[in-house]
Amino acid sequence: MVETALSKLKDAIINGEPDAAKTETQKLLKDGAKPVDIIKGMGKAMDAVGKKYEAKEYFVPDLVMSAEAMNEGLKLILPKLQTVGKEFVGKIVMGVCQGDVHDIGKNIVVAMLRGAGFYVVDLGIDVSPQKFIEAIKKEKPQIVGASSYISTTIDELRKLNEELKKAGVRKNVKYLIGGASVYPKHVQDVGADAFANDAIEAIDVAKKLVGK
Amino acid sequence: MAKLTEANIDVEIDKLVEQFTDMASKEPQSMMERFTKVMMFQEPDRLPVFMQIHDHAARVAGVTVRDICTNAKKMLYAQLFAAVKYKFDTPGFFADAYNYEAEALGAKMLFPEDSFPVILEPLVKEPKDLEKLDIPDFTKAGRGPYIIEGSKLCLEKLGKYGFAFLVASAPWSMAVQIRGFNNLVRDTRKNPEFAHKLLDFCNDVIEAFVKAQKEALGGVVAFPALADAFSCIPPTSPQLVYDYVIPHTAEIMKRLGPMMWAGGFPIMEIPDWEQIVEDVVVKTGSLVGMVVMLESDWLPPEKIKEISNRLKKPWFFGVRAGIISKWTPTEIEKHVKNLIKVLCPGGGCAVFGDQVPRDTPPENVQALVNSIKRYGKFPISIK
Repeated sequence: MVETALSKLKDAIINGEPDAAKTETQKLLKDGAKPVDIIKGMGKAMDAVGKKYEAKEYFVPDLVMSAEAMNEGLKLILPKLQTVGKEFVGKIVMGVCQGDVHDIGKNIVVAMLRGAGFYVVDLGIDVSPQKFIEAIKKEKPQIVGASSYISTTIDELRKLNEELKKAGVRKNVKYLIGGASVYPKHVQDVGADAFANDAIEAIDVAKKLVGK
Repeated sequence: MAKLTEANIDVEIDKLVEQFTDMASKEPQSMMERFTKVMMFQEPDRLPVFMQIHDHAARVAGVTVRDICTNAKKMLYAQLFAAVKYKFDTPGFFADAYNYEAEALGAKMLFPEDSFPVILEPLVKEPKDLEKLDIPDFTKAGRGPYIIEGSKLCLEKLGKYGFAFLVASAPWSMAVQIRGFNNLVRDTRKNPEFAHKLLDFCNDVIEAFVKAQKEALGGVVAFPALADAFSCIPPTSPQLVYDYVIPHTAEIMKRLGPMMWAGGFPIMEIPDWEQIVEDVVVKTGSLVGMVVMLESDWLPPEKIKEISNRLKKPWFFGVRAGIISKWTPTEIEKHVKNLIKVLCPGGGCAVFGDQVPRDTPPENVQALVNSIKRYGKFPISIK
């Protein structure tokens, strides 16, 4: 029964059906499936979604819907996890930089990273350096990720790096940047450690940053 | 550079107008003449040079992005300042074009000092919210008066050297702005009837906005355009382009007459991209085609030239923001030279700066402008 529900959950994620994903996750939990196993199943589904994107079968709207489907399931599962343990590949604190409210890309990256087994703390949009610093101190992630959609907020990525240094937390994290207005050359300008061009690339880059 | 105040802004604008018109009067053809030739698939004396330059213009002119997005005179000042500094052919009066309609409808906005305004939350959170919205009177609502005043001022000040851009959102992008991207995508899957209804409403609003601008400008509109970056692929899928973007864009063109439409294009290599590029231009009735990713291996300029020739439609080729801000002046010159060599013989084309980021080194902007002028002389003969 669990296997069938897990298979249905994977299909719901791959097909981008949030309601179905929620229903199947509820069934799985009711039938006694371990949250960690459900998350692994979700990861496999998101991996399939990523492959479809790379194969040009899927586009951003498909990623958005798959991400929504996975998040519906995660909402039910995450409260059941007592601690963030070794079942996760790594921990990331992520947000859209101060002054920017565009979060389509960030949301996809968050979902894909979760699907790839990362524990992601999503700080949302228009995130101040102070909020990043507080989250880093509290969550102790290996990576901090920030995005800028518009060219006018790229300076904020640079400021964030400076503020993290001032607060003494920069040395504890790798700094990953991305977003529509960000290019590889910005890594140096901003003082980041890495850049990811899209959500799929973000998985590989994040894995490298945590040594996996 | 004098500090700009309410008291001296008119004088400072007039000084720039004098410099700009002096520069333009020494040219063999005006921007309007060059542009007309391009649209007729003929050869002007050289390529027109126009730029999407907003936040960078604000920076070099010493005003804030908020200033140019809210104050028509400061916008005109910054545009003229940049046009005179870099010697391009026309100021352009539009910046955060995707926000105007949503703001006029009542969207809550944030106006950061040094960044473009942003919509804080979608107006149509639930389908029933659409019923509460009325078509705005753009002579009064939101920044309608700012747009209209600015465009009129630009034409009045520059006389025969003036060039009136008219920019509105295309229906898909406007729908993204008032509904939110994720909600709109969900609508297309769960409630397609509502998605079409929403796009119909967007067309009603766009029609009102374009008509208000045309009326205010007395019919002197050189370049009516619908901006539609949100409909490019992969932000949108080919299926959504064919099912929603093309039909609703074609509808608004039918109502308002042909305009330039910048949307629907693949910005990554996908199967059938050539067919999609053709379809988005032909099926919408767009006046021109427009592409920007011409440094990509998968999008050789030669292919686009073939399509342009086959369709007998003029095409505008954008030099991407990342190239303008991050390449060296020498690399920019080489890129522009190659684009013009392949794309521009025979006319019917223009090369422009597709958003100049704020932190772009001025020498890069100058290299772009100089290269278009240098290599864009007709007849094109680049070895």
